[in-house]
Amino acid sequence: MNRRIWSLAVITFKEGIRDRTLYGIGLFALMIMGLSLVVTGFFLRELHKVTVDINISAITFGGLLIIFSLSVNLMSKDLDKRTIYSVLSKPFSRAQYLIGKFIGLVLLSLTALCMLTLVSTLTIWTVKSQYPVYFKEFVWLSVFQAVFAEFLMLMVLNAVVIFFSTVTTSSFLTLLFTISTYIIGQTVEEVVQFIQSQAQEIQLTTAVKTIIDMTQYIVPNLSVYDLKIRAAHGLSITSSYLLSITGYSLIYSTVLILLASIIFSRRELT
Amino acid sequence: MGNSNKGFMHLDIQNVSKNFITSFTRKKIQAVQDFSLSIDPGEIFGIVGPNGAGKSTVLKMLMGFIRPDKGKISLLGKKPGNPRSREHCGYLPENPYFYDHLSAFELLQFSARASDMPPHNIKPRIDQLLKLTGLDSAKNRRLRSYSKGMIQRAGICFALVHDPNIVVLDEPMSGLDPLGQQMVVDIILDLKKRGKTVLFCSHILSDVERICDRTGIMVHGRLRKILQKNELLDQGNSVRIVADALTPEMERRCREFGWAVLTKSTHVTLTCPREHLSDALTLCGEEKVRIITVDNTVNTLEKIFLETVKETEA
Repeated sequence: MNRRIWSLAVITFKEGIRDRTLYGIGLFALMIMGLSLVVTGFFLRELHKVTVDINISAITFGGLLIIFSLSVNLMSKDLDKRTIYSVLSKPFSRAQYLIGKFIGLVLLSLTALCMLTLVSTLTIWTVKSQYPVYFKEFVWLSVFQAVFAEFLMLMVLNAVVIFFSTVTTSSFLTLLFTISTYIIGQTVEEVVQFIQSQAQEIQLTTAVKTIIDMTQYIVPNLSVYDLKIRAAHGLSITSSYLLSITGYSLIYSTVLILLASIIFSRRELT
Repeated sequence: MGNSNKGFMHLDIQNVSKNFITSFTRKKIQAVQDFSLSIDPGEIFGIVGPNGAGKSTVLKMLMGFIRPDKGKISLLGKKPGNPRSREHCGYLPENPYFYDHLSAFELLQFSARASDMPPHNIKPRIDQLLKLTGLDSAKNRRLRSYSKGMIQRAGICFALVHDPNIVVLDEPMSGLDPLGQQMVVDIILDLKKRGKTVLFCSHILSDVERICDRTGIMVHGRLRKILQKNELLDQGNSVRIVADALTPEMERRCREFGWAVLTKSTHVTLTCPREHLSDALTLCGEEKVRIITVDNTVNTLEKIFLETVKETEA
């Protein structure tokens, strides 16, 4: 990789990993996982499903908080506080700058996810040791596959943050658009399926149909990354599915960064 | 890094104009108008001007952060939009802000790596600069704990770490104590000694006067005057007599001699060449003009600067 881009990725990562917000998010996720140790005992059946569900949800929640607070902040601070002047006084093209920031943010998400997964593994292992009877159907691989899918979703959301940072001039708008993209991305598939199944009963105008069609192609389909239920049931995911969502994430992120680069190259940094 | 760019202007700005449109009222603000400037290799050029004169806008266009509406800019023979134009260029923004959680050493390491410095040269160069700017004892502290002056010093190191051929500094003395200001002057003079080109904006006119080969005065987006160092030195050869008031005869004689008279409500200032001092004092005696003070400490750039601003506003 280009040494220059890598140097920017490294300082973005360092700046993020040393931010106290990250420790707060980590602590919160750890509390949820710790709670699962206590709460699981209250359930009389399917303890493994509850444990896996709580732990993967905590990882997802922690990852999302990192995106909505740290990633948005790390991008917008460069523009708001004019740190970008110093960075772009080096021979970076605008595209290289965005790629460097993106890699740094992805590294940050990956590291945070690895830490949370490590603690989560210990939590699940502890519950499994306490209640081995309930963990007969449990498969470790499914849990790690679900976490990997969460990582892919965070990668796409980081690209969304980069894109909106170049389009808007306010960190609040970047945050708002990213949260909206997440909510729409999680539900768009269900909405489209519902409309298709009810096509006979619901009379939609052509305009609404066009908007729904466009939305499902423009907004990332984030429901494909939600493998919690499969992991909770100990169902492993096929490698072809994992490969296809990896490809989808890479292509979607690349297109977004490319669009962001085009917009950002034209933007005046006043 | 070798100085491989000799033979053409290091920095060339031709007829550049830039307007900004305000967000809500859509009012057009003329930030820079028909600005032209060429700087030779090894030259130190200072731009002075009141707040809002457009100095920083010129530097931002030079670095490619904003695009001119009209005109052409060339940095080491390349357009500012081309990242390679910044390979041999160092820049210090006005009131720099860096990553809070990095140390000065990490920041400079980034600057060096981003400038493609050979890895084995990076640490010695960083140590040298940190020592020069007095930051060596704080090099591992996070930048968030730095004072404004320390951040400014770190910014100067950031701009110079790769030993660039062109150094562009926006208010380099800002936030620095007198020792820090002297340090910047010494650094700029050392850069000149080593054949580097320096372009900077400053409000500290005495330093600009002292170190610049040429000084441009910018008012309302236009470069109104460019003064050579020798022009300033010639004007530095004058003395100032402050008196209560001048008689009409005295005023007439002053005009004959070509001495400058500036009348204020409380006093009159008469400026004349040093060799005319005895004539001026004799005349004051003859006309019974009460002299308040005589000095030769007139800050000539300051005087020209104030006159230029007044002329423009008139």
